[in-house]
Amino acid sequence: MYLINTSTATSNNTVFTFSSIPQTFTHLRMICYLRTSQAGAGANAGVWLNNDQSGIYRVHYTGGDGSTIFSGDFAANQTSFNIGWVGNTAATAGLFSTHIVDILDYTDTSKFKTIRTINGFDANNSTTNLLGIWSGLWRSTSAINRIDIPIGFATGSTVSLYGISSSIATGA
Amino acid sequence: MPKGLQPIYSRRLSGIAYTVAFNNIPQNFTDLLLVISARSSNASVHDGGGMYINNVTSTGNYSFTRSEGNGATITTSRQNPVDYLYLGTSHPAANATANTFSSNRIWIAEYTSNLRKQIILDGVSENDGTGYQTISGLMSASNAPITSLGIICGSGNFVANSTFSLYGIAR
Repeated sequence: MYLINTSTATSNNTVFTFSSIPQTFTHLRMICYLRTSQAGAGANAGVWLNNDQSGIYRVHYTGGDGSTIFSGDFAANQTSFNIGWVGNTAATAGLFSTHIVDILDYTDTSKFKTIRTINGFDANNSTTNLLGIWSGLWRSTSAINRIDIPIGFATGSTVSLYGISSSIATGA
Repeated sequence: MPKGLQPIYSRRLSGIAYTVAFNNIPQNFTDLLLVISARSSNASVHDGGGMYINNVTSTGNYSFTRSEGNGATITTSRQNPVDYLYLGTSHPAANATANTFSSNRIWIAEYTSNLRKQIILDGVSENDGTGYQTISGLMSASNAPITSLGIICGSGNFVANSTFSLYGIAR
């Protein structure tokens, strides 16, 4: 697993963009450590691929909040996919949510892109504590060369993008 | 041995296959990671999938505990004993949105130990409609080190362009 780039917010309302993503790996992994600087509990993080905001995403999730379990569907034609619940302004100061995002076969032009995320956030108070597995579908066969996470994040939020190669040996 | 994630094997299907097997798995890592991007030929929206270890498919060797959501409801269940490791509603199938493939991650801890094996899975079967998200804990009762893995489709076959990547993790 090779670090492609990492970015840390040095001021509030930061947005993250990874452009010119190398096309030489097999899979991508993004590890996010996030807190929004925007008011409101339960904010979740939308993501664009290749800066596409045309409404060809689908989002599903399954999770729990410490008392209830739930599964949801953002319905058809979303303008972004989602990587989970973000640490928010109601949480104890200094706490960030964690998101591990996998995008398999990101350069494969025979496939729409499926995004899988494991996400968790404990606010250290009774406001918003959430965990879940998120899935997203981008109905495009284009190779991914850019990722944007456009909501405003607080100082200290960090996103790291990794490339993962696969073996040429088949093990047959 | 370099630390971290190291590629061992990968396979990309050029046609359909019910089983994808990785044999002669090196014994010099600590954990194994398997990632699957696959689609089934079955005439349904989604299909299941499974995995067996060291060619063992005898009833009583495996068990699993699973939680799964489909965008509306969430269920949890356990099965023991079973004759293979059930990976959940793990792959889009023939009636799902075209060109849509699954994303599954399977982590096999301490695969060379002489103890029973613990495995965790998180996977999604996407579709521009109903989609599934699965988290599973799985167990193999065998004490033998893992030298081969067989990944099987549910009711159909894996289709062309399905990919299977196996990694070793060295600590």
